[in-house]
Amino acid sequence: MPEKIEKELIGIVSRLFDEGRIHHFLGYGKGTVKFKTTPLIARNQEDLRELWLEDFCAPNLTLYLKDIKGQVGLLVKGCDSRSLVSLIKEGQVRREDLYVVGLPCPGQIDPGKVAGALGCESEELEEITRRGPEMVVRVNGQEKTLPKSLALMDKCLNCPYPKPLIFDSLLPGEYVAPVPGATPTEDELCRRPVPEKWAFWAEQFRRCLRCYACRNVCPACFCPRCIVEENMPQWVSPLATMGDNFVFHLLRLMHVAGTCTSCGECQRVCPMGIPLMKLNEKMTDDLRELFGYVAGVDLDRPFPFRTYRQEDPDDFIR
Amino acid sequence: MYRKIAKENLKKWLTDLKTQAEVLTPAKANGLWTYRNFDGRDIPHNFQNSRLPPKGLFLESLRALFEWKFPGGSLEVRPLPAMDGLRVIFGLRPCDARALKILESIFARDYPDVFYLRNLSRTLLLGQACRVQCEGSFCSEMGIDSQDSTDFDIFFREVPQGYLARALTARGNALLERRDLFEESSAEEWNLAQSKPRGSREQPLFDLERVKAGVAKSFPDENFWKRFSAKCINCGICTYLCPTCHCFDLCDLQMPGQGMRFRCWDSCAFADFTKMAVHNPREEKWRRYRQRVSHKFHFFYQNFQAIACVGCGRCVGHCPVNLDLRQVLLEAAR
Repeated sequence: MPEKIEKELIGIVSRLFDEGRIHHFLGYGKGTVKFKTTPLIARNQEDLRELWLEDFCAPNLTLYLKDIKGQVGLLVKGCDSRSLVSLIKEGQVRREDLYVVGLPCPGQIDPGKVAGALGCESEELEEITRRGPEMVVRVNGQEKTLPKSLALMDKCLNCPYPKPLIFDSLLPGEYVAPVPGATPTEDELCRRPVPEKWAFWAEQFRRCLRCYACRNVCPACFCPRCIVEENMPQWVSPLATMGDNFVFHLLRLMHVAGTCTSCGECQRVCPMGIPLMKLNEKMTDDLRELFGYVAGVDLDRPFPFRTYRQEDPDDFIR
Repeated sequence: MYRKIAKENLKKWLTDLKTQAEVLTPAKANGLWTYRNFDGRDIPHNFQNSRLPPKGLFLESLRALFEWKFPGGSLEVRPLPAMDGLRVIFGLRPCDARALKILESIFARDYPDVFYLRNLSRTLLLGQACRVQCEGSFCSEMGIDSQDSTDFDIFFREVPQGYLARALTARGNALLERRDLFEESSAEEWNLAQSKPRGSREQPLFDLERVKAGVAKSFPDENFWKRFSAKCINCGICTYLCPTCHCFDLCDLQMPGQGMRFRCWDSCAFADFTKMAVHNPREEKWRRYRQRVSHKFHFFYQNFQAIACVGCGRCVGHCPVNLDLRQVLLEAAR
């Protein structure tokens, strides 16, 4: 990230602290391991020294708005701004409490995808840098190049909202999709017969540890108490068996239908590599097709699952 | 006892062992490294460490303890047996083997845990020296030698022609008695094969004694824990991926007329971990994070004279928000 942008950001945030406009700023700090950055929760000017902008800024910072109340400033990428829109719409945060700084995002690098494209282990990747339209990767001391489409997260390629939908300031830079026009690869699984789908997900959910990282990292999962933690009565057993894991994941999927903005954090953090975005994408497609609804893009359209219409085509709801 | 073996012969040896035991070796499944039944293929070269620690093969994430029935109205309780049958695990790393010893100190004390102890006694541990220092790891700081270990039955070092093997137990000695496959070797040859893992640090990150004292001293410092835990999202990754974390929950599966009690992994990062009828002593996340670090580096040491961390780096590398335990320890030791 050019120094100019960093200076501009620090300028903006310092002023906000100075004027007492915010008491927390959510940004990024330098990661301590390869290809990672860490969320930075700055409480004052001094903490801003740790602010760090670089190629890796995948975490969706709107997550912390469920903990940090009051006047908060935060950095958002285009995709993150959709979570923000959703949260405002749900009454979880108030627009007037926020100071939103837009970040030009060049697309987030997916180290797993890079390793896959190069036929090596993620652990063997030493460095990934951007050079014009290409990515330069150092693996075991050797330099290799990859087109962006093989190195960036799938959701980033033809990013539909590269420019934040709501903001108070925009950092200078280009707000464009990294690979404009890239068509998403169709999910093979969607066309498979049900028993095959079942077998696929059984294999995935058998591995789930129920660490709840997917739920806890999800900005749309803001319930103070999750149904899986209820034990009087116990709706879902805490035992990480395939059946209960199915219940947990499908329940969560249904709960965030209409608020999930496909930010992809659940899949990114899953320690067992469960491709949760396949489910989210399917839900997103269905919502678009059946209800003409896209999550997190406007503040006024009602949520499809919380709307009643006399002319609803389904009998059971009339 | 020192021996050496060619690569092809190692495969033959492991294949032959399958007639007597379940043989597990490093393998990739669903994109993640794990230990799987040996299929006769080459032992992978780029294996650094498994995503989930091998502790799950000893302290299973889900273990049925006993079951009950009500035949004719009276309660009948039947204990469920521990697993049986010999097992061999090849390719274990020194950090994970030390973790198994640390867990043994808990599960063997006061109330011997038949499930863990039986799993340990039925398994031959075959270790392998590391070629690369794993991302986020601090094993040497925790007193683990990635090139040598006595926590195994046999420890292997890779050399260009194959492997050198050092037997450390009587069971290990017996396994190396396949003279058609293993050749004689010596302590000299073993020492010559000592290498340094790629990416290892010249200077240690911290001094363990200072860390121990520092963590104990930091306990009452609320701000210290609040500062570090602010970004924690309360997920269970650090505990479930930890080779020494061992907290569990007991859950009943009640069905009409019968039921079963299970033991399953639990995590001190979860808000309801310490929730009781009227009170939760660790309601706030800084208390939970403090507990995790203090347990490993302070309370556990008081109880067992060992630190419940082997520096494998899994929690560092896989934390969703990159909350780095090493930074906490460094700060505490300052």
